[in-house]
Amino acid sequence: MDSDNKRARFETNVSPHVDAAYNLARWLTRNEHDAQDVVQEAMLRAFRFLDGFRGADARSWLLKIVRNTCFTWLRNNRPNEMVEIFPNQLNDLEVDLPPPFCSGLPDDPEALALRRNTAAQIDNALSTLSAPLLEVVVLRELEGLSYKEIASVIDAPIGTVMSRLARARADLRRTLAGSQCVLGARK
Amino acid sequence: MTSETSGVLLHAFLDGELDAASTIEVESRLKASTALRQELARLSALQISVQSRATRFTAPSAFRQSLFVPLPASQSSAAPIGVPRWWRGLAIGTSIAALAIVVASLGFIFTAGDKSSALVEEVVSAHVRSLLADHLTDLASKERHQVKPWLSNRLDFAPPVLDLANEGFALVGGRLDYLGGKPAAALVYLYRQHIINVFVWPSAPSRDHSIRASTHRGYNTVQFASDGMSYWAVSDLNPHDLDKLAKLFQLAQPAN
Repeated sequence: MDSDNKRARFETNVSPHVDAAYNLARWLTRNEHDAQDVVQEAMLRAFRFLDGFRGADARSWLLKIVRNTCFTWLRNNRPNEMVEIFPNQLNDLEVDLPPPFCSGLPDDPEALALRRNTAAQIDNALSTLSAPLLEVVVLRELEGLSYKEIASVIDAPIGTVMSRLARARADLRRTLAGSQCVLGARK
Repeated sequence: MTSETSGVLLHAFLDGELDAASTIEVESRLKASTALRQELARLSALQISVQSRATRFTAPSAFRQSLFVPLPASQSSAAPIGVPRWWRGLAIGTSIAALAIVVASLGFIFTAGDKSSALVEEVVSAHVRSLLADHLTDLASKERHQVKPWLSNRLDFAPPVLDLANEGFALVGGRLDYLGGKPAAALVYLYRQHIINVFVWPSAPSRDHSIRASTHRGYNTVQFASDGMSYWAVSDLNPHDLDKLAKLFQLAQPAN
């Protein structure tokens, strides 16, 4: 009966967050098949670790397990996507406001360009991010986690969450606004 | 705030993650700098595009079911087909099927410190009534060009009606309602099978762009103001997607 209780507790805590778990794994592994493998493996680990879970925030708890499973999988299968981010690269970004990616046109074309992007363009831009940048964007923008929750999921200080998010958004802007502006200027 | 940190702080400001003191500091810098305001507008445009258009993958239902499938009673030790390998191992020796697993009702009900509790009660009641009484819309139409004039002709204000189909919020229609002692417009949207009522009525112009989320009787609500209108959106949809809808309404208003 103990195992039944454990299983019921597992299902109660985990089932509301299966989509969040799958979404994170799907973005990081980039395909459905590997995402399912990773989530299934993560579920096994989550079940094993359930006794250590004290019930505060099941979503962050599960996402942390899924995230770690993903990163182990990536290290084994796609080591080139685990690009290290060097601290000085991040500092360079924060020196001052970045210049607009397209300028000299009225009505702030960059903001307009950013609003005009299609779903496919946005998905493509996201898929160009390395795993450490992609995960913070997925957790923040698609799953709506707070900085504190993201810090707990990726096991890093909040400052790291903030700088990675800033870095990721700068990369996305370059991809999304840059291409749009070039296209717009040619028309 | 030094220029070294302003970039990151602007992101935190956008994300509503700054403490009161830093928020005031960023606001005063925004007031002083056109470039900074422009930068914030771009970041906000990017954020809304990503939040509203990037794919949020959902677990295929067969896969989801395979994660929680219970063992049939007669085969509890026979490792039936369809049960994932890892789960079989864990389930051996248990009589899981004896326990009809009732997924705990997710309609967790708590009222998180809402100050305008009378109004939130009215708004949620109006939402529930619209679902119960087969009276979801007075005018069922996907066309904002039909819904908006229909409502405007019957109210003493013209509610903004947005076509958000590209963002996944399909317009279902409009309805007249009465909230807080005043006539209100109810815009009905459908998002991934969740009905959303967006209640709108005129209010004093405000520079407050915050979006306040709460949960009442198991329904999620967001409250916000934009362009001289007061908004309440109510749904069983998750708070994150409701927040997205609120941002779309705020963004759609003419700038400044």
